[in-house]
Amino acid sequence: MPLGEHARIFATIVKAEASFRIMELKRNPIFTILSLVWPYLMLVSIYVLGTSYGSIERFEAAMKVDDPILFLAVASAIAFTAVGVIDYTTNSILWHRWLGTLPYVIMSTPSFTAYMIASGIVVTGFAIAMNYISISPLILVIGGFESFYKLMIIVGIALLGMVPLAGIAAVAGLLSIIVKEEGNVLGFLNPLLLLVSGVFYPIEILPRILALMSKLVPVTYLVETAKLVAAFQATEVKIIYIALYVFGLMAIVYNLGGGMVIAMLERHAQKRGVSM
Amino acid sequence: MINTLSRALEQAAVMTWAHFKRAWRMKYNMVNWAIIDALWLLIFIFAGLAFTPPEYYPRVVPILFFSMVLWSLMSTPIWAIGNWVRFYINIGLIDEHELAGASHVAFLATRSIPSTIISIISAIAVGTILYLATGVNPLRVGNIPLLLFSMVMVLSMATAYALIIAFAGMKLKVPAPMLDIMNIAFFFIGGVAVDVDNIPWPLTIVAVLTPYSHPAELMRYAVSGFPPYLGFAGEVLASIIFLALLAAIVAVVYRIAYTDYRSLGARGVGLT
Amino acid sequence: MIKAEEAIVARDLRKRFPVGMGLRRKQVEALKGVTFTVRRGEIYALLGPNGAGKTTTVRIISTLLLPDSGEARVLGYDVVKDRWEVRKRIGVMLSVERGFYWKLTARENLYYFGRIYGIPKRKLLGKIEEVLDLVGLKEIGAEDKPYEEMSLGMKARLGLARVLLKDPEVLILDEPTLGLDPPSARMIRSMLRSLADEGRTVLVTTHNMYEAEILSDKVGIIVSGRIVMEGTPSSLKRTVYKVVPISFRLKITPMADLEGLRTSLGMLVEAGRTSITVNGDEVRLRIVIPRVEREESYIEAVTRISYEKGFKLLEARVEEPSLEDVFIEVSSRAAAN
Repeated sequence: MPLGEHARIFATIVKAEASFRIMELKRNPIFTILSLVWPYLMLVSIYVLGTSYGSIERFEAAMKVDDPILFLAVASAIAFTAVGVIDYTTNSILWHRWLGTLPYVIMSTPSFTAYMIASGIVVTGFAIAMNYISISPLILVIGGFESFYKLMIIVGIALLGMVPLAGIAAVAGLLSIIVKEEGNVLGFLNPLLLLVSGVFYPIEILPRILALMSKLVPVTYLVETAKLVAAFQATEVKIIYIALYVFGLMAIVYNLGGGMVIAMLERHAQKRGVSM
Repeated sequence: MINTLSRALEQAAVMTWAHFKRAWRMKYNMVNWAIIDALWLLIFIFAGLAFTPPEYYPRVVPILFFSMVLWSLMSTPIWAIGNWVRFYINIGLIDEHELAGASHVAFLATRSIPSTIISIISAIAVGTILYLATGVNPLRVGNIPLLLFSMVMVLSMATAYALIIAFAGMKLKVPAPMLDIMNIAFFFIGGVAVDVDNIPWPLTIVAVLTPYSHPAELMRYAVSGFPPYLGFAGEVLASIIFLALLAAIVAVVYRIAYTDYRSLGARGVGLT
Repeated sequence: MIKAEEAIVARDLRKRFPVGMGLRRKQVEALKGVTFTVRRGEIYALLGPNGAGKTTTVRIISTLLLPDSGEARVLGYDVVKDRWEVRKRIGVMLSVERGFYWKLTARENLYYFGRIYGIPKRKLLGKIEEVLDLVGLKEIGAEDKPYEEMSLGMKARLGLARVLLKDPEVLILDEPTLGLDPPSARMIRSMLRSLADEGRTVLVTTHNMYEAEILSDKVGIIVSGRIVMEGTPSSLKRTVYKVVPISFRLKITPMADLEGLRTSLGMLVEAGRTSITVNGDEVRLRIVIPRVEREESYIEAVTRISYEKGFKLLEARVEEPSLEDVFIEVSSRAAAN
């Protein structure tokens, strides 16, 4: 098949997936409201829990941030973006399986990998947009335009930081249809990523093995970068560049690795059939 | 009377047997669920500890740990019962139990027994990781029988709450977990995560009126000797009264849903 | 007053269901006065198209659904007032592939339901082996297979095994052979026949005409919530023998115009009374005409049309109507009314 044809099919899937997501938001207002409320629920929950056992000052010192509330809001958005990328990808495949539409989705492209990448792009953009739209009003009210401007930079970095997750999400999604279980077999991936990435606490608090694992997770670097952007100290800009390099490296390693695993799983699925 | 009771017990026993069989056949799923539960609990526990100076860990860690265990006990029945009621109707089990004269309440309620395994596995994992992270033994408990009593009370209340939203979901034709808007509020402002004494004034009333707050106060008393808000006897009595009240609400909501089921059929109360 | 030989009596059963939400909510009348009687030891087939009210009727008689009005009795017991007495005496199969615990095996499911029915453990264990044998699940090695892994045929056999576990006097089955492979469907039909021969009463719903014709002692045709005709299969045919089916075999020639044939036949015979199937180089044509008209004139007309449209007549045959013809005739009459 000529390259142009591949590109055309790819663009069609991106458009279809995007219109499906928008339709879902329009038709299911409760889901939309819940998606926008979740970062706030997380923020309030952690604030209430934390302050009843300790103090916000201690949290500020432990996290080395100037404004702990703003930080918690951004951290919640980062957390739910990561959750969203993996959840939307794996759940949409599981949904297709339950609804019986999976064979048609698979047949819509020459390769299922192409579908996974196309839907991954939409899902990542969608997850970022939802979460940052959600926290923008709070950032504007508490921190004013300067904070809002910083938030936009964080959104840009988040876009890059989520790219490595796309490969992981795609593998998780495919595994969920190959393994004959009722639910998502990699459902633990999301909380594990959040646990080791130290979104809401300093990594030093974790046991050594989990702290070591955190080095492999892109969300860890995203949180650190967000802290630096929020502080805006010129001396730290170099570290932001380092984080961006790390994202680039992880994107290559995880997505190449993910691509190879997906191709392997796809071959396996075609040979053995998937539980549809 | 004795015959009816012995038949009900026999039915409850065989229902529990079937639920355990199912749980065993889905053991990997259960372990997966327990891991997910443990990981979320740990995120909240570590977030809580980020606010706490390390010198307070010996006092805070056990209470925070058991508060999160209570959260796990509060939330698993929502899925095990509230979510499962859809399958109960849609795969036709409701009709078969109705024809057999078996209790729908008993069938659904006994599902929370094997689902407790998830909370147990997750509590063991969380306790171990917490010990590795802080060096504090989270299982350092003053009064074990009282702790167990408080947990059984929370599990019973959570089962009743899950039954209420399950039957309300049948009546309203809405998936039960979507009706679960109260659990998270119960946890944070209802005196489970935070002791009632520490909750700011008008919210104290909400906490005292939250059923879970009373066994949670007993839990804190059992773990660290922290004096309960209504006193020991007061909290025991309040726990029993609230459990009875929840049971009465279950009976009323069930009656309403059951009337619909009998007059509209399974499809009339099914969700798909 | 119910007579001793009457096992199931339904009198003027009516049922409405709400559909839609809010302002668009309205009531749909599922049963508009269903009346029929099933005698002891009889197989009664409730025959009707989808949505005719078969399942609603069965669910009311099984005590699962409350009627809005009317009365139904099973072995003399009222299905509303004495529902527990009724339940003790009936065995119900509501669906071929639902109503079991998916993660349990066939044997475990039977044990579970047996205990729920209150059958003593020792008696139950023996009974389970007996019914597993009877429905052939042991023979095909499916007795320890989890329900979710069973084929539809196995699930239907298990459904029947559960019905038999209670040794019921009356069996009520809703479309028990729906979607089954021929051996399983045949096995279920022969089981039902032998159960009726033992003196048990069977009420079965179906839209499979063949099944109703060979299985039942009596058929009730239900259309739009009403029993529009009732009787033995042969008496129904006699009653409705007001139509005559004629079948033709036509050879396709190079000049054949199938669409033209269809259009011309449409002008000759009433809509819905013609069927055309192409089989290799032959066309099989079947028309159903009113009894009062002369068959010969139709045969002549079809021969002429076939010739004009490029077909060669190989055979023409006047048929005895099947129960399917009776059903279509009765349904279209009911719809016209």
